[in-house]
Amino acid sequence: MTPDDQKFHDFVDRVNTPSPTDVAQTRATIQNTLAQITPAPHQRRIRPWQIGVLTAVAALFLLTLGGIFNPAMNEVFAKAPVVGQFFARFTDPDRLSVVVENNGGGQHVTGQSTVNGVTIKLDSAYLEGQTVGVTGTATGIKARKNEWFNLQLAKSAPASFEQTAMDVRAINQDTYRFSFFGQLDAVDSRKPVTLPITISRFVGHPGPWKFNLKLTPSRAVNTAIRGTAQLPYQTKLALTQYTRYSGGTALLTMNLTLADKDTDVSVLSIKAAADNEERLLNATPIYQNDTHDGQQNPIVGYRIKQLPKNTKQLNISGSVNDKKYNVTVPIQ
Amino acid sequence: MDMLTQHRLIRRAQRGDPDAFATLMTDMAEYLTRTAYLYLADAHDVQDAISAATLAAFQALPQLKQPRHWRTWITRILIRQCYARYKVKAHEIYAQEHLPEPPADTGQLTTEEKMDLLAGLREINQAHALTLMMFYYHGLSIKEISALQDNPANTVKSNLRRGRQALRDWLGEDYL
Repeated sequence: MTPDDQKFHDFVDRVNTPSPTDVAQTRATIQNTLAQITPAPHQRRIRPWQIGVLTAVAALFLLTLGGIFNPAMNEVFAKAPVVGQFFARFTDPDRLSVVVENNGGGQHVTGQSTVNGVTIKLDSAYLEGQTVGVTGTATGIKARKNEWFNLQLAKSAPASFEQTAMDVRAINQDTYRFSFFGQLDAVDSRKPVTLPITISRFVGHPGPWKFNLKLTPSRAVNTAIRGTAQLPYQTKLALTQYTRYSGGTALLTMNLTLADKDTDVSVLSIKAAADNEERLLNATPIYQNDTHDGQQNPIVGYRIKQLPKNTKQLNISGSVNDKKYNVTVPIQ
Repeated sequence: MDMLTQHRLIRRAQRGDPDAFATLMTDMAEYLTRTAYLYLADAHDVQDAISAATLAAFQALPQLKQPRHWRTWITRILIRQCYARYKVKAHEIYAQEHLPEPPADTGQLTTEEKMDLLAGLREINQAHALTLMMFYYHGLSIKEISALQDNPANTVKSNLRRGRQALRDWLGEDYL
C-alpha cells in the first residue's frame, strides 16, 4: 500500500465509524440469517443403516395407514420417485466440461425426479481429470424459504470424492439452476464414477430427490514435459506433465518449490509463445499426488485449453505474494 | 481474535460447523458494518447486504482455500452484495449537490461533522468514488472492479482518475 493509499484508508476509517447500535444490529442480522439456514453446506454421507431404518419406518407407516392390499396406496407408493438412473458418457470428443457448456455445448444427461410438485432435472455432467461437475434445473418452486439446497452422497460414492463448491440461482419466479463440483483423487478419477446423490431440500422445499449418476472418465493422454523458471522470492516452477483430454482441454502440471510454506503463488495466465493466445481456463490449481495448499513443494495442475502442436515455449504470468512475475518457459 | 483461533474456526466452519461460522462473522460485525456503510447509505440496505453476504459466504465457504485470505474473501463477498443493492437504487439517487466544506482537522470531528464528511464522500461516490473505495480502500484490482461493475477497464480507470481529482479538489493536496 502506498503512503497515499494508506492516507486515504486512514481517512475513511476516521470518518466512517459505525454506531454501537448498528454493530449490534449486524450481529443480530448474522445470527438470524444463520438460524434460517439448514446446516452443512457440504456433503453429508447417509449411512446404509439409516437408509434401511428410514425405509422400513416409511414402509410400515404406509402399509399400516393404507393396508397392503389397498391398490390406491400401492399406486401412490409405486409412483413415488425413489431413484432416477441415467448415464453420462464422454463419447463425443467435441463436448466436454463446463468450459464447453459455457460455450453453448455441454455433456447432456437425462434424469429427473418430482417430489411435492418440485421437479429437479440434472442437465449436464462432466468428469475432467479429477474434477466432477454437475448442473441441473429445478422447476415448480412455489415459494422459496432460502436460497440453498442440501446435497448428500451415499456411502457408495468414491471415498476420495470431496465436494468443493455448490451454487444455486433463480432463473425466474419458479425455476432455479444449480450446480455442484467436486474433486476425486488420481486413482478414483481414472475409473468410472457412481455418485448416489440425494437432494434433501431445495430452497426450503422438502425432498428427497434421488439420482444415481454414473460417469466415465474422459480419455486422457499424458506427456512428460520439462521446463523450469525462477519466480520471485526464491520460488521455482518446474513443468512436469501435460495431460490432454478429449474435447480440447488439458491439464498442465507443475512442481513448485517455495521458500516457505506460506508463500502464495498464483498463475493468472498461460500462453503458448507461438500464438500468444490465452490458454488458462481456470486459475484455481488442482493439487496432485497428495500435496495440498500450505506445503513447501506442492504439485499443482492448471486447467488449460490444449496447446498447439510442437509448442516450444510458454509465457506464464501471475504473482508470488505481492510481486508479479512474467516468465518464458522453454519446454522439452 | 488471534489468527490461529481464526484459522481453526474457518477449518471447523468448512467442515460444516455453523457455530464456528457464526463466531467468525460476529467477530467481524463492526468491520462488516463499516464496510457496508461505505457503499450504502440506508441502514436497511446495509443489514440486507450483510444478511445476503452471510448466506453467500456460508454457502461458498468450502471454496476458501487459504484461511489467511478470510478477511479479503469476506470483504469481496460483501462488496458484491452492496454493489448489487447500490445498482438497484442508483436511479433513485438525488441530484448531486456541492460538496460540504471539509473541516480543518479531521482528527477532532464531532459526530455531525463526521456525517457531513461521509456525506461528502458519498457525493463523490455517486459518480466515481465507489470505484475509489473499491480500489484504494479495499484493494480490488481494476479487473475485479470492471467485472463487478460490468464496466470496461478503461471506464474504471477513468472513474478512478476523476474520483482522485475530486477528492484532491475537495480535501486539498494533502490528501491523495
